[in-house]
Amino acid sequence: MPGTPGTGGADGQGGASPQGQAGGGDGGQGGSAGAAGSTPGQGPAAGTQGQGSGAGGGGSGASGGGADAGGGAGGSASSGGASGSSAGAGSGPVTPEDRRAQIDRRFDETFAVFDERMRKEQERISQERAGRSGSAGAVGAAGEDAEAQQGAAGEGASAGQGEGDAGSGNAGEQGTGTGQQGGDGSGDQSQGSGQQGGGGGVGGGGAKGGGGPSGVPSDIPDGRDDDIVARQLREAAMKETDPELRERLWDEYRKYKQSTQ
Amino acid sequence: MTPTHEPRRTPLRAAALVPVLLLVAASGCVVQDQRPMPPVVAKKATAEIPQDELLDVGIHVFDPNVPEDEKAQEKQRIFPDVRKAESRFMPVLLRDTLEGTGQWGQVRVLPSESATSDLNVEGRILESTGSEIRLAIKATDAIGRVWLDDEYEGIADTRAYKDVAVKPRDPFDNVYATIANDLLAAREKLTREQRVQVHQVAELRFAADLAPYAFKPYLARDGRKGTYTLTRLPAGDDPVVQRLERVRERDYSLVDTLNEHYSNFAETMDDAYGNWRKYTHEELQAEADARRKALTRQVLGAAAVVGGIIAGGETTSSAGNAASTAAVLGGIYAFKSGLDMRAEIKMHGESLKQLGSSFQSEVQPIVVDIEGRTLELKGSAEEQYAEWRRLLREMYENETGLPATASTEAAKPAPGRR
Repeated sequence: MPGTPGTGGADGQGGASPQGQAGGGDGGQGGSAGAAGSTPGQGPAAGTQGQGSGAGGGGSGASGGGADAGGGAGGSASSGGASGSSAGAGSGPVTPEDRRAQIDRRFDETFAVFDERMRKEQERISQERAGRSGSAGAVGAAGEDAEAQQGAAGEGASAGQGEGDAGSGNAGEQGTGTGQQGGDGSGDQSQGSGQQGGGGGVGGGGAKGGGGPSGVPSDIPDGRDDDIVARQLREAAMKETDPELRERLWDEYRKYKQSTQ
Repeated sequence: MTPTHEPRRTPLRAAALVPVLLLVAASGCVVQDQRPMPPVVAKKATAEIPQDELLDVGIHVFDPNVPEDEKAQEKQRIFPDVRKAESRFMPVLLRDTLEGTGQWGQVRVLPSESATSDLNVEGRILESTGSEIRLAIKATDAIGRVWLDDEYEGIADTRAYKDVAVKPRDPFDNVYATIANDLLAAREKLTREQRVQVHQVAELRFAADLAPYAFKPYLARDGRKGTYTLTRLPAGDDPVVQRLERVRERDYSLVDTLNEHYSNFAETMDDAYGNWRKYTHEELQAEADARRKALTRQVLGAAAVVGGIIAGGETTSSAGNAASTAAVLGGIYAFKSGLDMRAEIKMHGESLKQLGSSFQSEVQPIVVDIEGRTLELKGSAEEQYAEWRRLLREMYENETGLPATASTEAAKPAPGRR
């Protein structure tokens, strides 16, 4: 499938950019078509140019399957030229295996997005369920929480110093969320949470490092007078790792507190 | 002479008996409590069912069957949002019943226009009060074979309305158990091969929906009967098949999530709905009793008046006259009291309206919420499915070198899916 590498080279120069390669990769169709037409040993120089034009290649790839089809079919002069640019990446002809790998990568990406979406949705459902069942066992749970939080408060202090042995059992689990606080040396805050009852266990999370959600926004009250619903919301927000969802939970918390005042 | 006297005594006796009958009738009109229903038990699996014979069941959100005309709604005492809530609640109960038998694979509640499972159950609410339900149920497998298409009705098992610590059965559990048993009976009529094929066809219909150019040859559709036949099976190592299986896993994940939403919804409304049904049942019973009483009193009152007049005309004794007068007066009183009961009937009617309105406003926000969420979830999933369709097409073209241009009519896509 002889293309017109010379033309491709010219195109490539026009689009020189360090992002070119990535562009060519993303716009897989354009890239692959180009590769088919451009291999004839342009050498490293052509490769560089090709990389540059990859950005352009990405663009043309995005314009649809035309480049792809053109490349696959041996390429018209124009499509060969367009794709010649990314061909310069030096990848050689795209074999069906390469193409399959490209498609699989895209599958993997979309699956990951989808799975994450479902995971969040299911998490949301679980939180709602927990909130509902939590209100049923509010009285008993309050006692348990207080106990857990007392323990967590102490552990939170050590988490603040970066120690990793915080949290066992329930307290540890709750604490997961506040790793950042712990890392920031906010042991005091954790202790405070422990006393207030609702938000306790927070400090324990230091043990699990900085992967946890960030702390309590500054406009959120200390939660000393939280009722069970507010406490559930507070805990859910503190445990939430997704910033967007966390902010929504805090909003709910604010709204709820306003409605009860 | 005696014979001439004998007939006279009869009306006199009858006239004297009228007030007694009235009393009996009046005292006999007590509130009737429905006896506990003999429970229908959904048959449970007694042996392990081979994996390839386990059929997944998709129970679609029922048709709430709400008349558009508001007057008709009022006349039939249908509250649209209550019905909408029920159309999601009842499938969850049926799902739980089916799941509890261990006779089926995954049993899920799905949006009304949704993906095809091995067996799809659709329902329409014909009537639903706290006292009785009537449902039209249709079950069709992926092949297109109708398993059942029938109406199911049941009256409430009033034990469910008693205040007990342990959560009782649903008042209409018998209906769901009967449906479950009928589905089982229909399944047992199939041979093992037929059951296995149902699952295979369901998978291929899913595949053909996403990649018709690749999977059309595997299915034949009889347009007249609306059924599918398996022509052959695709190779397991086909790269397109393998990717499609991964997409299928996501499809399951989506329906599982939707299913969870419905479960959550049912749990949320459960208590309030239980109370509404309980009080509705009580009011309906009281209303029916009041109607019965009113009718009885009016009929017997009228009879007493007529009897008293006849007896009075035929008797010459003072005792006879007194008895006939008493019968007439008693009859008038009974008739009037029967008329007065209209007010009581109306009162029960108003109570029912009040109960419905109140529950409707309670349930409306969660109905809106579940509708919104399912739409949102399906909407965002649709974007992904579009992308997967495109990737599958590319994969197919890459693997075969052929253009993916087959007609999409091969397998009729599940309505609304993706």
